[in-house]
Amino acid sequence: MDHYDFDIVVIGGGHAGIEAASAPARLALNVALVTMDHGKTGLMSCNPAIGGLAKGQLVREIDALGGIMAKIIDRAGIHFKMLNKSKGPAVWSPRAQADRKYYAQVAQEILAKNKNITVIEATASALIINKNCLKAVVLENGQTLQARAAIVTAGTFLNGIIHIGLNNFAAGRAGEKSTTGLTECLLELGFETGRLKTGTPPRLHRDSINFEPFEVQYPDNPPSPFSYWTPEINRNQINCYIGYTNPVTHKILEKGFSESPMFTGRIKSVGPRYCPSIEDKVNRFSERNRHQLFLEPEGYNDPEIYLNGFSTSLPEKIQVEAVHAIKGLEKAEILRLGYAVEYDFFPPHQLKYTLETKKVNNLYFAGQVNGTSGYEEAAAQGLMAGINAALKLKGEAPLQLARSEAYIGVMVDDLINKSTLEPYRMFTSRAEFRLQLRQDNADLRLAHYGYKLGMLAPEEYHQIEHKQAEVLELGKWVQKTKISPDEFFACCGKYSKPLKNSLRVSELVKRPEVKLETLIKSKYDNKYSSAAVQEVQFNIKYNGYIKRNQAMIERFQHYEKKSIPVSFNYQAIKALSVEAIEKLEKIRPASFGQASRISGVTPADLSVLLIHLERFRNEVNVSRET
Amino acid sequence: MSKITDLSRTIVALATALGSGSIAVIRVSGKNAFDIVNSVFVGRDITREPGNTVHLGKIIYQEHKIDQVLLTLFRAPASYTGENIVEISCHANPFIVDKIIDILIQSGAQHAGPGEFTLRAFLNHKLDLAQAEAVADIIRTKSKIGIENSLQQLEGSVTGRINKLKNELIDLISHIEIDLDFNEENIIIASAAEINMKLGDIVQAIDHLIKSYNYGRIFNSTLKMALIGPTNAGKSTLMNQLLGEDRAITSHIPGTTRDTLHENIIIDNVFFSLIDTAGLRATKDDIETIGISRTKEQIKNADIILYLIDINTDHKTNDLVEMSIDRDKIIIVANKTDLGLRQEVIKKWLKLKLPTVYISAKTGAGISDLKRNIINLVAHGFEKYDDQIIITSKRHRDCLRNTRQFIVNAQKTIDANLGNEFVSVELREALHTLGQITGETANDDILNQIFKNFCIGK
Repeated sequence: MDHYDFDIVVIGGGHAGIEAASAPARLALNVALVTMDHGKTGLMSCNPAIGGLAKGQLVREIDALGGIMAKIIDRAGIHFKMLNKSKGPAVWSPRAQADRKYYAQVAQEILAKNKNITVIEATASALIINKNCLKAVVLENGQTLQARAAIVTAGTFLNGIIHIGLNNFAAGRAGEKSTTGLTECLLELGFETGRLKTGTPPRLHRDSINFEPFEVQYPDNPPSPFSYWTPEINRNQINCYIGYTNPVTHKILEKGFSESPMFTGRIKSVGPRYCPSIEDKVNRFSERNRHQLFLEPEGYNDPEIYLNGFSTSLPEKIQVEAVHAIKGLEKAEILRLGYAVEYDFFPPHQLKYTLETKKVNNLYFAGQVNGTSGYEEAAAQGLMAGINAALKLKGEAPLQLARSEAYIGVMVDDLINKSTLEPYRMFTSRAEFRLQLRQDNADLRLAHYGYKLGMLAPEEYHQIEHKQAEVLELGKWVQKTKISPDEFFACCGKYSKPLKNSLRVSELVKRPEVKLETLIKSKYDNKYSSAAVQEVQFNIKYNGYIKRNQAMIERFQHYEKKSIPVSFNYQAIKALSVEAIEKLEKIRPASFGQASRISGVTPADLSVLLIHLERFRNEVNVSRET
Repeated sequence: MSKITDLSRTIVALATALGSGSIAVIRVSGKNAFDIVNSVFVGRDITREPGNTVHLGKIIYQEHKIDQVLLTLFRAPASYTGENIVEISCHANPFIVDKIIDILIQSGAQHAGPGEFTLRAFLNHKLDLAQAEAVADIIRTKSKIGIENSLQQLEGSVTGRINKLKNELIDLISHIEIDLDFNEENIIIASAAEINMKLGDIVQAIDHLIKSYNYGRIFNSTLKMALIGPTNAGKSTLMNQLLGEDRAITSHIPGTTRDTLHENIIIDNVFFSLIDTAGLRATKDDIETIGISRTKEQIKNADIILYLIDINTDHKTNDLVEMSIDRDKIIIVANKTDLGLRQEVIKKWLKLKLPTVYISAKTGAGISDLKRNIINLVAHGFEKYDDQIIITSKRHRDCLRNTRQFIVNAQKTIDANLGNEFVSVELREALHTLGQITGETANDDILNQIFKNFCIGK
């Protein structure tokens, strides 16, 4: 019988790592979290905020499955805002800025509380693999941790290089060493690797800023918690400030282009298209005479201000001059320069849907090492890898979320099938079933998985069951309750056409200007939670679209069910394009649906594949009959 | 779609229609085409010959010569199907043709299924879906213009037009998605009014294409023209007048048995099947009853009705009115103008407000006017300009109609201020539907449907 030091070793204590460690620990497995600096666990490298467009949805899904990110931000958040409030509820996304140091503290606290987690301050430098299965993690100090599984969540640290202007030096993050060894070890095992880059803005000293020219941005009042189990946010909320660059700033930045590591070709790796540096913005959108900036305090007592929108790797002199050209920042003291960090990543087509690598059993990758950008994307992957590693070790079926069930499902499916030419970030437009995957109904969609797995405690799940029961009850109520013309006039007469006869609530709610909440109040029937009300209201107002989405989901599932045999020989189909054959052989999709999402497989290829699948199926049937 | 998808088979079928002309072409396509034909051919060893060559020789069976033939060779991928093809040109004698095909089967070829050659062309990326359908149309269509249109489609101009529309849609969808996913910069990419206007342009373009089907379809099929009216109005004379000039040599309405009561004419490149109901009225009793109900059936299915009257006899307009025929289908043909025109009779018929043409079947006066009116009616007044893209397929027209509906829905959604996430749903469905025309939206039902409509040998 083999001896193991740990069931699972997690390499890297960032947002992916802390989820990857807490999940199996919660499921009673023995976990080691290897991190180079214990005090930096859970630290936000860049924007001191959690959530945002599409990302907020990810966080709530993590919460519904029993992950910890939402709980941390609820405790450490200092400026909560629901984005896209002016638009429909299907595209609302929660976001909150955090007290950055406190956030890390809370994360470390949660890890410390769990007796199944051992935090080991060390650097992982190699892996021991035997017969295509992970056996141990080797540390720089020579120590070896025997493990049944390992999850690599090393973030931007693998051979990380920081660039400021034409200077560069090895580092994974400002003030922190990079690591080397893991990538080389994985390369020897036959893994593919690439380089990506991400940037970060300068940090300014609060006391050196003149806030006068800036517009105040107020947080939501009351703030909406991320976690379904946080009843309310009690912490003090603080303001942020909105400002702009100007043509003078832009001119100064342009001066620096010749010394920009991006423009001079030093950084050959690709950066996120959607998170462009300020020099990218000035270069690409040269007709704009100003770009928006946000001053984001990093904590109540923290003098550091994060200059959101000014990500840069230009030389020090240029950064300082450009910042000082911004109204209000003339005397700003720069506590930390902006920089770009370049790092190793592993194209995720090398992974299975469980995030286990195809090449090595019981080895999982999660987070930025897979070529994603964002804390939320990383945390979601960490959670899925952690859960699936645990399930595999326990001999249970894996957890795989469909594109129609969760943004997490969309992300994993995209990572496995699409080629990553640049860092992957979540957008609502990536989700075909966006209308169904709302931030307010992640619990109804996913909590049952969390509970079945053992990630959610019974009391926690009862809360969700209660909401489900409420939704059912309210659904019946709106069908049988009628509003009289007088009642309607009293509550909605000012903005909605009066009724001639009594009408059912479910009919009235269809009017765009009418809110279900208002009608419930008019009947003095206040017992329903606002979450249940929101869910029922959305289903009524957008019933037509929901039905169509359902039809689309059915169509989608039809192609997901068209399975492709594991041994299917793509090479034999001469009618497929060369690229399609290459990609199909590499990825080996399990279904026609998955095949249709692989980049490089054209619609013409898909038609050919469909026909051949039919033929294959018929041949199999014939041979069965004979 | 079972056996038909076994691409390892080498298939054979008669590619020309029997009964027309003196030469028949038998087509063999597949991996082993050359070997199989070579084994029954006496002449050069065609397995050593390059493609695009023609060879004279004999097909033999058990030492007997079956026929002297010309073989045309095509080597993969430079052939219709993309596979090796041998086309055997032989004498168009049904016994010879059958025997040759028989021998080939014995040598390893298999009968081709309906549309199988074109299916293989599609699978080998020689044709996209719209082009594949066009092949069927070209074969079916009898008129010159129909051929032009189908060739146009085969050349990909329909595809080109559809792709242009798709790109415009994709552009709009991306604008909307940017608004939903990037509002942090507060850039207004395109206002609701702008988007609605662009959608309006797309709707217009689609409407043009849909309307063109009215024109396109008439070249793609045989239109049914029924000649009815009171006895002695001159139907026979008119029929002879029309047929004498334009009688077609072959006549076939695909799908129905040959019926002696149909005569075929071509007017202005449009193929009509002229249904003669003249004989039916003359008989009486049971046969008459059967005849009348058949006539009613013919009238219901007709694309155009010519109601012929003698302009000098006071026929009752009621007879026509009682028939309850679709108004859009009728032309009143007032005959015997050579004998005079009774104004009060004319006035009575004009009151029906139907298109009315004055002719003399005997002298030929007004016939060209009649023809013009006939074409105008079946084309629903559509006027074609040069290089205009014409839609000739019902399936395409239906896809375009559905696409249009989604786009109109999107416009309504914008007007109702419902939110871009809903506009996006409509536009994505529009895009999906549009993609069904060129086969980009891979859908096994559609593929099945399309290839089912082919005939064997094509």
